[in-house]
Amino acid sequence: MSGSLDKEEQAALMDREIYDLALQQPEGLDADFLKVALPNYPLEVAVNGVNRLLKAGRLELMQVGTRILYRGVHASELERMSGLTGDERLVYKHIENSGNEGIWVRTLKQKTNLLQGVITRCLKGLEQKALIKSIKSVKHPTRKLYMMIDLSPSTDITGGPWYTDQEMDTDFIEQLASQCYKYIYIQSYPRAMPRGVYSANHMAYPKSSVIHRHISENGITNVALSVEHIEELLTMLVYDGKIERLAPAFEMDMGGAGGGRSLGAKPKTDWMYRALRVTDKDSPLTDIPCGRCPVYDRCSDTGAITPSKCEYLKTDTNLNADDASKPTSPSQPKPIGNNSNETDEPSSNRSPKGKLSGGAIGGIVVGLLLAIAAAVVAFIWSRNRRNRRLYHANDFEEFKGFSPDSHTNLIAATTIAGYGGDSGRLYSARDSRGYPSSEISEFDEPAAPPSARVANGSSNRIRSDLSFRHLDES
Amino acid sequence: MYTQQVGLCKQIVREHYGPIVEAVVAVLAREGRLSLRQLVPRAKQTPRNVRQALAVLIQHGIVTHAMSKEGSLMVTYYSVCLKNILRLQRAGLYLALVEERMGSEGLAVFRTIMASGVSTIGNVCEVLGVAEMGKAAKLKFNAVVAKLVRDRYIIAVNTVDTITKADRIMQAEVSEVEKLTIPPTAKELLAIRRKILEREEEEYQSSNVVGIKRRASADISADHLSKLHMGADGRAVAFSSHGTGEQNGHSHANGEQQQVDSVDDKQFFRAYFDRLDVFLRNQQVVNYFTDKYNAGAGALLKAILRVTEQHTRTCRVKLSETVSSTQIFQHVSPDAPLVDAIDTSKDMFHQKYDASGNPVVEPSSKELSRERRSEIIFALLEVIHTDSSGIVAKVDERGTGQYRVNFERAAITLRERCVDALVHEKFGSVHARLLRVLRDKQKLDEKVVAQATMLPIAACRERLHDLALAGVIDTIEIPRSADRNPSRMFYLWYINSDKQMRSAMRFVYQAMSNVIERGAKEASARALLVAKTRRQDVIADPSLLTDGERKELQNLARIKQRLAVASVRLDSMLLVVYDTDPHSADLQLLQ
Repeated sequence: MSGSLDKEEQAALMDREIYDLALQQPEGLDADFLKVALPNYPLEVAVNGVNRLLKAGRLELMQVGTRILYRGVHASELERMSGLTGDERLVYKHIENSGNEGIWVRTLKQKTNLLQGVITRCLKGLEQKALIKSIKSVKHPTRKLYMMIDLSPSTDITGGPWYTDQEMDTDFIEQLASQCYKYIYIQSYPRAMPRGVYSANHMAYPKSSVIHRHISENGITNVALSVEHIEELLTMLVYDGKIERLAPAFEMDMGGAGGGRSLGAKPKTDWMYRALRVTDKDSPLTDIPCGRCPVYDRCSDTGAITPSKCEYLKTDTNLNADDASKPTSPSQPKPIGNNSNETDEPSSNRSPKGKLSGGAIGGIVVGLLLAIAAAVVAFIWSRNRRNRRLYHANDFEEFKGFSPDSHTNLIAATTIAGYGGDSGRLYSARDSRGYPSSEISEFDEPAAPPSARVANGSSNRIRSDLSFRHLDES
Repeated sequence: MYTQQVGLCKQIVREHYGPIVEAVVAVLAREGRLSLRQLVPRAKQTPRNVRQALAVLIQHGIVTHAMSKEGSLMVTYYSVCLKNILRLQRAGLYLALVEERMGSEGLAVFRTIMASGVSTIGNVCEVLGVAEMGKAAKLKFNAVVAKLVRDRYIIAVNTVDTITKADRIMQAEVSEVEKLTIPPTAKELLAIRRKILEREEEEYQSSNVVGIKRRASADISADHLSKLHMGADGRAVAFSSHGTGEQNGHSHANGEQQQVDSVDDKQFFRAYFDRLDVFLRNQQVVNYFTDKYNAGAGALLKAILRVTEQHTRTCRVKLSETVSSTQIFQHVSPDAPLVDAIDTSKDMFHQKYDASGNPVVEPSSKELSRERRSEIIFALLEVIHTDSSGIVAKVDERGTGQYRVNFERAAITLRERCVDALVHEKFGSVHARLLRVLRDKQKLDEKVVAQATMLPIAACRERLHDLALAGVIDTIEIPRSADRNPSRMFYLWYINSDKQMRSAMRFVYQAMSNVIERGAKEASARALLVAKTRRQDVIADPSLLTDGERKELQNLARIKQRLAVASVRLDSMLLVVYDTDPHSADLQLLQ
């Protein structure tokens, strides 16, 4: 009896030793390792111990290549798994193995060879026991992924700091990019020379690491950002045409960024960034509304939409003297074909029904006068129209191209008297830079300084009250 | 050729020459080369009017002609050159350039020649009344004419210049083939064509200036010499009148032989717009550097281009001559704003203070010392040649270096800028970002584009389709399987630069057309009023115009001015997009 007890105690002791060894080796251990670690026991005894532990569920088998490994199962894990069925345990194991990447239901079905219904039931059970959770990936928003409840999803799944609730937070990106741009702009030009530039060997342009430090030290955002994230933002700004990349001097000397080194050992270039100067010049397309016209594709010289009838052209280029006094927004032009005579009369001017007040009588008189005026205008218009038709049908002599009201006469007067002008228009005889300021000023809208372009923080992830006063002070 | 381009050309011709000429040009542009017999019924004009219109157009270099034998008849065919019509829009720019470089006298001569298309110098003299001028004015006139010819602002016209270039080449080919006894093989034909093109190229490259004579000078008094205008290269210039045989310009100083240029007054000249396009392109390059850096950098570029433009005959030139930094230093304008152009100090806190603690104010640009000026210029040159565009390259490190302008790179940079501005204006900054990503990374899947532009993929896809519809970008199919099943294909977005340029040009043509049409409408709405201002009684007594009419006239002038400025600015975009590109200039050689 005592002998059998001793044997049991010895076996339990050995099981304990093997279990402890297995727990110490999270990657698992094999028979050779046991042989070396337990030299006092014969291998058969050790194998019996392993079998006992496997049966009790305290060890689990793993196959790595051709090797068989044993991994110790923690007591807490053992306890967790104790209430699970075989299928649930299988599903749980696969979910656990997927780590923080999660596993899709269809992949789970392929790996476990279980029926869809069984898998659904298992997943439901595991979710009820608060062992797993379901998440959605930003890459595949329609897929439902499962992972362990205590793990946080990887950045590939969540999309990193640029995503909020599985959606790209463009507002946050724009505001952070504006802050970066503003910082780079301040560092890009000498403060004492507003129109000056730094010399070619100036190496103090900000780098991504410096901008990252600025963002984190000033607490611009509460989201943890890495230098790589800042570089993504800076790349976006480069593609926005707001900043440009400059290679550090020693790399330029080596024949470009990373030049002169083997491809395998190519180090990452630590770019410098310089803001491009904000120009106060606008595009020639800003002069006319055609650039942003919503009906541009339907515009032609015939039909309902023509440049002759274009309301946008009238409003944007301020062609009508009467319209000049009206502050009509270019972004909200009048609808095409809108007749200004069709505007509703204010309700206060209308008299009560059935009563003819003094105002109403006055209105009738004014109406009659207006009708007479309209008839006169119609008569003049029809006459003009006839004349205009005649004007268009004028013969060759009328279109010599030597327009007397041409500004070239001014030049003729200043050069050699007596020479008739041609149709070359010298008032426009400068290119976009060379216009006299009086001519061009009406077209130019001064560009807003960078500070004005930084949007106020509407996102709660960014400090909206941030000012750059501290930079000025420094 | 695009519909919009033809539409714009019609508008321009109507504005400059009237509806009859417009009808003729419209038919020629739409249907290609036509004979007079075909042209008359299509233009729906009388034969006399069509003939007169063709005469005017040939005179102005817009239409060319070529004779072809058809049976027993020799038929003359007429073709239109749309590029020369589009240049009419740039007339103001050309005149301003000539005025800037040749002064008001040069402008007067150039304008006279430009207004009549082709003209002899004798005719210019008559128009400008040179005979009635004083001796000094005549000398000045002679000098400026010689300078215009020598610097190729105007060039001599040959009889073959009005013959269609393609026909000329075909005729040359036929005459070469006729010399052979047996029909040529394909190889021989190719050799003949190459030879003809080489001959054309040789003629183009020739440095001979036709219409100008250079002679050794006779004795001349020092007093006379002082009044004689000296050319840019130090040579005295003069004008010879063949009618009298009298030689007006002679020079001889300190016993040294001087050369005098005299212009043949019977020779016909025309404005050489290809040469003037070089100056316009150069101005665009200067603007690029002024915008990117500052006016000082722009002034430096201007100096470099001024030095090189003597050797840059047309926009076909891809690389400029090399210029030493010393030459640049000498040619930078004394008024150039160099004082605050660059920070050359070694430390960040470079502001200097005087003894009383006040900041030291730098002198104005004109008062800068030679050392300080050279320091600023050399520092700015370093900045310019390290610019990411690669327009200015340093070709030699010896001394303070030699520089060269790469016009091909300049054309690409300016064009990209122009297309970016167009997309930015039409669609917005995000679309412009997408465009830049595709330009930088070449062919990309939409997911990668979305990642690079930091946009949600749906929004990115939507914008990519916007750009594709506008013809700015395109897709290419990469099949995953041999059956090229659309569902198993990668669709990569990329920039088809030819297509992009075509759509940009179409847009600019249409926009210019709209502006001109609107201008015509505004003018026609006030035609009666304008007609009234031309009446003799109103010209004699302007008080016959009412206040309202005066106000309306002012309004019309304002509208015309605005629309004209808009049109010229749009034209500068077109110039950048296409005309100044060395490749397109090469293509146009045969037109």
